[in-house]
Amino acid sequence: MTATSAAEASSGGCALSSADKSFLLRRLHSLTGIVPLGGFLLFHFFENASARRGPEAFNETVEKIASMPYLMVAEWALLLLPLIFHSVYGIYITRASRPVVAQYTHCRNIAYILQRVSGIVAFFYIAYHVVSTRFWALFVAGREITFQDMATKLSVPWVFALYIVGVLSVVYHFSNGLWSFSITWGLVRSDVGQKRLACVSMAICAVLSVVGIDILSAFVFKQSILSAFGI
Amino acid sequence: MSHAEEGKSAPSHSSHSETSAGHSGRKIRVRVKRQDNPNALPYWQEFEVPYQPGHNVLSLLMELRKNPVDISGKRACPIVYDSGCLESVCGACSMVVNGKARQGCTALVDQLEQPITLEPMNKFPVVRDLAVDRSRMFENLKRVKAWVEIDGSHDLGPGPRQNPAEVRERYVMSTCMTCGVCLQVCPQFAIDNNFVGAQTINQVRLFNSHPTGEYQSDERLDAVMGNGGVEDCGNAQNCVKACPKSIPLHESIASVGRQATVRAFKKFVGL
Ligand code: HEM
Ligand code: SF4
Ligand code: FES
Repeated sequence: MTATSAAEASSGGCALSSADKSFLLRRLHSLTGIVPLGGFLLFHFFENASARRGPEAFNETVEKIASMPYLMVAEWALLLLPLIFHSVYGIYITRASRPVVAQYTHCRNIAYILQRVSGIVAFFYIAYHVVSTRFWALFVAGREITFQDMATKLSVPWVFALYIVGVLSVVYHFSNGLWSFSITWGLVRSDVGQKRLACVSMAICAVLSVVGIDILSAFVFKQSILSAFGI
Repeated sequence: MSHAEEGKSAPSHSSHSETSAGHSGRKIRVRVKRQDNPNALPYWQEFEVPYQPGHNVLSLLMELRKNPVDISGKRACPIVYDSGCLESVCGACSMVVNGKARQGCTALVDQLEQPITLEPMNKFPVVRDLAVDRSRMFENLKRVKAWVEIDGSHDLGPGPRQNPAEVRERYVMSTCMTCGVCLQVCPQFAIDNNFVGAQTINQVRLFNSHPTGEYQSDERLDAVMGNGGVEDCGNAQNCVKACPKSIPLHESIASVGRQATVRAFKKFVGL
């Protein structure tokens, strides 16, 4: 906080004045959506995809991750904290929004509304998911979760439906978030760039949706849907 | 059937004798959301104006002023609205026509579904009827120093040479008429928050990309990195769809977003 420019002095701003806080918080919200949350989402899909190779492979992956160093710190500080921050601030942002639907049905406006709807759905889904798996393992069962635990849960039709809705919401939220993140930070500026990125982000959304449902199916059916087709 | 089609199929509007058999001549029906003063409750009033080809909403309102009688025959106060240029360059006549924010002077009656509904933009305080107070935009322009500072105590000499391609790009941004339509349609802009919106952010980009205006770019960025600044944009991009001047507001927002990113990083590391 030395060398404050004349400009800063005249606008009364220092690096962390209350006026600047909304900028920092908003950018932190945007950043946490990608790192760590988006990054974890991809990792989570990757690790859970081992369920496609059967119960043993999945249980082995779970054990391997459970023995990772600094796991506690990583989970609580690098995952739960950012999740809580992004969620709480996301709900605050959503509450402050006044969607304009009737006369503006072009896809960016719809995507904007869906970003908020999927965020809220994701909030409830993730809360349920984390409590019923990770917290359950840590505080109730006292052991790691297994393939069988997940298979039992997902064999209940409404739980399976909830997971599908939840996974699709999170996937859309993350994919469209990649698009808006790039604009928020100014990584992409031009009209063509924004349009192309929208196509890329929706392609990512489609791929992750298929992968997500495929992984869920691996728990419920003997074989995941895609592997039945040799993929 | 839309009114536009009706207009095409019935060019005999002027011959009153033809239509006098059962009903009077064609009328233009218009519903207006009225408000007598900034604190009064709004109410709707419906009017009929004899059809004339080529009316736009402002000329319709002018016509109504001659004889402000509503459809029940009750005398009404003349409708108050703002206007200036009558050719879509001053931005004063912005209102919500059939649910869409736009300029009254370019809203052609023949292309509008009837009854035509006219409402004031609800993201700005209503002064009276369709006239709203747009001063928030002007305050924001002051806040971001949306001008080029050329005054000095001595001759500052000629400005730097400019790349014509950049001048063309800036020209589009400079056509903003502070009409407020981009803010009216923005889901992040509300009457009770302090988001600056696309209009101001576009001006930041305009003046920050001007070779002389650029000298104040840090000040402008600091102004839009404060409360209600560029970070409040949620990328719904209604602004760029609605802007009557076709300003690429989504590009302006991304540009200023990038400048803000760089500025925040530089401030953070103390540059
Ligand atoms: C797996 C969990 C989540 C991930 C990976 C994630 C990711 C993202 C990403 C990448 C963005 C884009 C940031 C930007 O536009 O700059 C974003 C935005 C947003 N997120 Fe999340 N998010 C998650 C959970 C949530 C939850 C639970 C909520 C709660 C409602 C939420 C609400 C929002 C909102 C409202 C935005 C829009 C912010 C804006 O456009 O200004 N998110 N999220
Ligand atoms: S940017 Fe376009 S819509 Fe917004 S105030 Fe200027 S002219 Fe009007
Ligand atoms: S009167 Fe100037 S824009 Fe309509």
